[in-house]
Amino acid sequence: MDPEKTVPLPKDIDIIEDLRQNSSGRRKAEEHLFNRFVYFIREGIRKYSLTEEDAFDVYSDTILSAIGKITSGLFEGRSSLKTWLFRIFHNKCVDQIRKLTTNKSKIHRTAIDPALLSHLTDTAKSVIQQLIDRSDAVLLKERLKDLGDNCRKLLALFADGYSDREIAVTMEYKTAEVVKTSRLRCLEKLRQSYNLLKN
Amino acid sequence: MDSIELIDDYFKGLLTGEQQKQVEQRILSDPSFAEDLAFYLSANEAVRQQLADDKKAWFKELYERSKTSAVPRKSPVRPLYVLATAAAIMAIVLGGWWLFFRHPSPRQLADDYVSAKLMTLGVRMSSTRDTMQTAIERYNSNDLPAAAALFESFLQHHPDDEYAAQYSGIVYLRLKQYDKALHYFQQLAADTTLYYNPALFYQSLTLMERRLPGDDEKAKAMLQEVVNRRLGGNEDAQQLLSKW
Repeated sequence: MDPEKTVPLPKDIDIIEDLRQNSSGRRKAEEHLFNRFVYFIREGIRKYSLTEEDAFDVYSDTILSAIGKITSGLFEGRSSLKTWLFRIFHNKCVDQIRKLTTNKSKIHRTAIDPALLSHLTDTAKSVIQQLIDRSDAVLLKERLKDLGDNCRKLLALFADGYSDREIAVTMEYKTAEVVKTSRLRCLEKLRQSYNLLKN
Repeated sequence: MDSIELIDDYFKGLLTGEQQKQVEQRILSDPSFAEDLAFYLSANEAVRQQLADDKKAWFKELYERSKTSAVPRKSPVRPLYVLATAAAIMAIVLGGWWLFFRHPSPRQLADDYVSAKLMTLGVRMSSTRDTMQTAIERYNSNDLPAAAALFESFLQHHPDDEYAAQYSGIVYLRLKQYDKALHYFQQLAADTTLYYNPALFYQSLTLMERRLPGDDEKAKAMLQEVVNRRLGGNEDAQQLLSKW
């Protein structure tokens, strides 16, 4: 029995549309996307001999990566959602197997969103990467937890791809400008809190 | 424009070509500016990481739920019917056991509470509250958008009526417009003249439903506060905490 004939599931196009709109329906769309292809985890265990935990991690990373790509408009719909997702999942499974079978120790380097880094020229990128390598990512994450709820939500929504205008609607701010000012103030607050303990 | 705003605009692609070049030159010539830019990226990454951790924790819950769900999942290999039947029986037995003994998620707890206690509102006997009566009737007949409009309209004319704020919050909770629900419950919480004020309890319920990063922890702390201070909803809060 095909479950899709008996259970009213949203269509791929609806999930993609809800993800792109960054509205209140986005979280539900993320849930639908995760649930729709959750059987990939079994594929990870069966085809790639991963443990359930590793297969779950790989699948979670696949979904997070897919959400990021869909919301930023990088999914062009040339193949079906399933085919596209399985390709990402397959590549991540292969990466995971390589990681498990080689003894190379992981290089501890703060990985910055490549989309942001791509703005910089190579020379500037190298300078910035050196500065980032000197930063304390663990401390920064800790300090983040101590920011107020409002600040954390503002920064989280922005990092999740919401524009200031969309954040204004979601969090009921008057304008996108107010959101921007508040968000940058939160960033400054985080910086002061971080510098206080780092120095 | 200060550094951080300039950097923000740079990464959002809002600068002209000339301004972009100036930013890149400043990275090489102004160490303080380069530090600002590096911090902007590191902070953004820290937030992204935290967000990914929170989402993975949520995915874990979804996964655990999917394993016990009655809905069969697609598989490229069709199992033998005999094995499938045996597996289904096993899943029902284990699923029943799991459903009986598991700790439900905060959202599940909130859903159960809403289903049990917030599907209808008590009809008020006062003859002076026509709009309120109509709003409650609409709510009870599940016409939630109409009920929301009427409760809000009533609240505009009676800003001190605690039921109007409370019911406006409840209807938006049911409509899953959590930020609006919180707005009304916070408005209700600000009224310190009430002997019985369940605002904090309802705020907690809303956070349990909304589930943004940090909402669960905050909801639990609020429920604890309701119990400790014996606020409105105290007994329900105790029950929810016992199942958490």
